[in-house]
Amino acid sequence: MIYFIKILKKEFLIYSRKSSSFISPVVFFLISISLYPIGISNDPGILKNLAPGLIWITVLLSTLISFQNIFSEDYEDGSIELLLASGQNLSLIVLIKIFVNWIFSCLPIIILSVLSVFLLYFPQEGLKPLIISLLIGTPTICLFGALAGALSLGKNSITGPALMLPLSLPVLILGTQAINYSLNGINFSSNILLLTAILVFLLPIILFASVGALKLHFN
Amino acid sequence: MLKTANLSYKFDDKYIFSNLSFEFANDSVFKLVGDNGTGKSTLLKILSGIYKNYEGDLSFSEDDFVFYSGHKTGLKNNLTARENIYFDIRLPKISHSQINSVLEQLDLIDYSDIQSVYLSEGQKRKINIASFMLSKANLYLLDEPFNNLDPKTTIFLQEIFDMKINAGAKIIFSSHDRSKDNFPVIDMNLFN
Amino acid sequence: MFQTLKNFYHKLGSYPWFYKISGKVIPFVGVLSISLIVISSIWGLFFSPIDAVQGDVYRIIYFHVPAVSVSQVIYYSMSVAAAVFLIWRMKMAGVYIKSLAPIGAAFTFIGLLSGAIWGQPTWGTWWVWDARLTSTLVLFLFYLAIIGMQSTFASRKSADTAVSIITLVGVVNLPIVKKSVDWWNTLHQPASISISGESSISNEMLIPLLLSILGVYFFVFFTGLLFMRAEISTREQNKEWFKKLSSNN
Repeated sequence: MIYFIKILKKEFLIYSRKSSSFISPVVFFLISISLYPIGISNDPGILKNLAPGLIWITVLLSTLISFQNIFSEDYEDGSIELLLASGQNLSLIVLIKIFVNWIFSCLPIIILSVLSVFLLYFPQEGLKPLIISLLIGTPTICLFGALAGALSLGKNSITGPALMLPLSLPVLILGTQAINYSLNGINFSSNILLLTAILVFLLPIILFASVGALKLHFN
Repeated sequence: MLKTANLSYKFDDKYIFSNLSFEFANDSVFKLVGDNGTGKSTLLKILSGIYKNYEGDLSFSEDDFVFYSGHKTGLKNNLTARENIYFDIRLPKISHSQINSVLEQLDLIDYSDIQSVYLSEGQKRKINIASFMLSKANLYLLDEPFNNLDPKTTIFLQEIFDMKINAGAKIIFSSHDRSKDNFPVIDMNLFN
Repeated sequence: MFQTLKNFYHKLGSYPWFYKISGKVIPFVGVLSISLIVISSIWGLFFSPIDAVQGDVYRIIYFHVPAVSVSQVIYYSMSVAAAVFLIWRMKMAGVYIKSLAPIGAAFTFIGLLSGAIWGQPTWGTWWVWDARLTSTLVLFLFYLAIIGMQSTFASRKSADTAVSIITLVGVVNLPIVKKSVDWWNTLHQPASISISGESSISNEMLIPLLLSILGVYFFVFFTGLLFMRAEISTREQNKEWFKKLSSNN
């Protein structure tokens, strides 16, 4: 147990030292959010309708930028070899890594998405489903990112993005739909429940697959 | 006791080495030598449990506690020398006073709070030596530990070897240096 | 019965046996597939009757339907091979997936392209974000991911394993994508364009269509064998049996 707490602390420390890990998603998000009104239209009516999708897509794209971070450095510097040699439970360690990656790359954006109320004229009553759907949906995206990252370790190939998009599609649809539902006065809890179900169902599977993919590089 | 019987490893369909059988008694050290690509690093990775797709038998005794140090240092660029040792996953229980004393012995204390990205290759090696010194393992698998070391540290590391062996530990390490020293040799060229 | 099946399975897993048999089969399959495609194309393009509603445009059906159907069938067959590879470690399954993925990708692309060309004059748009088109696009992405994955691993065996995992992830993911887009569409924007309008098809149109489908399937069989032989010869070029074979020729 001490072992895993130590790994958790280590990951936190590394991410907090590596300022790019959490600043670049935030900057990416802020730039995109301020470019949409300029690029599309500054008409509040149009922006309001597009806002749920725009926010979700921006979050998705910023994770697309950061998913390589989960394992690539560990692979380059040899930490993964040491983890494998330690004989410890690798899936728990991978889970810790995904969790810390989520804290640093997704959580700040989720908090910042509140800004869309001012910048995209997003109605305030939509904030609750926006935040909830992001909180439940983004961990799933991070899981996919971990799998894609583990599979495409060491080489930049089309594989990562080509995998991320189709896998994330259902989450994106359910997430934006939840927001649109609530804005139209429809009960959105079924969407949130589905998102939760996807997360709970996929967590062990993707974790297992990611560990398997990592081990494949050491064969 | 570490024992291998007809240990072979193949990468896809090509054998890197085959039919390696040796017995590793207590109080001893082995030096792995061999040309490039004869599987020195591979053998160490198999013994440490990183590679699992070998053929043949490999057996440890119950109380073997393995410490592996690879070609890649495993150091985190953004952590200082001290933190890298403290968070080294091979050293689950380590205190800061222990770390300090080792850093002093290695003349690293002045650099101990600098992030590793700014350290030289030799200094990074020294941090790995610090982890090696602090480890309580009894089977050490070291991949080219003498690389990038200055003469002084080389002698120091040899002393640490003697200390560990006297304390009952076993060491297998790889080296390009075929010059005679008192280490018994496993020549990987023979198993190709 | 079971014993013969088992024997066949073991033979299928052996490179030399496959290489020998496929070499004999290829010419027949090649001639058959190309003549079927030529016949069905000529029949479909020149001799089958004009569609009452769509006019001559409908004739692209003789390319579109075979391509789309074979692109899905290839993927399903690849996922069976992936399961075989992961469970029984049959090397031939890895060869199969690697060889068929580019063929599948090509036919998915042809399907998407011919669909767009067909869609423009009939529905007035090149593209619709409906479940069928979106899932075909996703299918294409999975093919690309599988092709891209081949070069990510140093070891052939690792690459085959990873590709098998991806193939299976895709086969689970595809229906989910289809379902969720379907759901999103029906609730989001009431369908302005209905693609699924079932029209009865006359026999004179159906027979060349079936022939073209058959032709494309045989063509995939043909190219699949060619690609697999090429893959086997790169993997086994240093093996005794292969050297002996190539020195004989």
